[in-house]
Amino acid sequence: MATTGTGTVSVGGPGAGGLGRVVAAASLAIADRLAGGATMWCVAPGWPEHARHVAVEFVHPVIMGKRALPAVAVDAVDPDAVLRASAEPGDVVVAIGPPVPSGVADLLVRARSRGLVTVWIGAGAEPPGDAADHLLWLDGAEPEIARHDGSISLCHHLLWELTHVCFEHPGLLGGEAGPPDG
Amino acid sequence: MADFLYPFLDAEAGDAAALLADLARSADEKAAQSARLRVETLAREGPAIDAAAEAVADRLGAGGRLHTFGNGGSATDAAGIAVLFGCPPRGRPLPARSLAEDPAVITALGNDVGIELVFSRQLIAHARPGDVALGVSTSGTSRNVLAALAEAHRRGLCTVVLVGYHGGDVVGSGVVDHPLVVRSDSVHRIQEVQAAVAFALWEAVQARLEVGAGA
Repeated sequence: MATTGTGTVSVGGPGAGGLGRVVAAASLAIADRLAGGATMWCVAPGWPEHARHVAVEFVHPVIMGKRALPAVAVDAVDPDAVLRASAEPGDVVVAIGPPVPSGVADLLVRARSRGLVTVWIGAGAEPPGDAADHLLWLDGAEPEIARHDGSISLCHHLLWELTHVCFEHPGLLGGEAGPPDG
Repeated sequence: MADFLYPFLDAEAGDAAALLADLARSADEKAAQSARLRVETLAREGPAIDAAAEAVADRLGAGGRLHTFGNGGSATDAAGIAVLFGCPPRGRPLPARSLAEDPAVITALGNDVGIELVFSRQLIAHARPGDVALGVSTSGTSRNVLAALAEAHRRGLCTVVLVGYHGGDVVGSGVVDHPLVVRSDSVHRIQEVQAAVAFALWEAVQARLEVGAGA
């Protein structure tokens, strides 16, 4: 059948490069920071719909009873300027996009130097492992295909779902401020 | 990979390790569910996707435009579909835009006439009979998506909807030419597979336009 399966990639299944393990670690880190009163900044230069999708998901959960969490989609021409002005040490930045030509790598270097926790969801040529605190990478996927075929959406959906599981374990989360809405 | 952990008491460190193992297993299971749902849906909806592609290619090939719309995460998915058709990774760019992207328009309409009409009123301004309206709704019950599809149908547009669960109100509404249903109860898995369905639709439209151009 002409319409089935072409151009799609299989990601994150058992044995598919340990995506689950990386998502788990990233989600616990995000929950830990948000429980401490941090804000999550979502940046996707070139793929703005994904930054907005993540932010709306966290701010207004689709599942009744899940807490609203402070996430912001940054779609300014210069996202680094926004983070410089508004992000605080201990905040989280979730970047979504390929390394080229999005400028994500430089953005994350600067964000880390200011004390932000960094998460990078992407596809294509994989950046060095230390490019972000948590690197959720779709190996072998063509970036512009992964952007549109649901693969990138799967990554940030898992991040949201697991972050909320972590909130069910408040004893494991840090933060002096206590959970938002707590 | 343990350097993200903040200092825990010993017991808590053990709990954290157990939680992380559970989370990783859960993520892998969800990813596998998503992959299975994608395969099932593309197989079952294949004929419907092909029929929609034929109609959409006919319209866009003859100068029609694609209007997409949805709410919340579905608004961002509608925006992504407009980008896929308008600025595709390969093939022919086609005129497409999302009606959910401009906060001035959305808030003006929402404030003045209500959220139910934010998309249909834009179609009244923009739509031509040869155009295509594509709504995205996981529930199939979003009233502004239904209203826009009804307006589009009334104006002679080809109407397509991406919908989840069991199709919601929209499938039986009589205003949708091509309902494409992702049968799941999980909003997240529905959205992931809706993207895959939209991608398959785009590929099939491109293939038909290529054949048309070569004929």
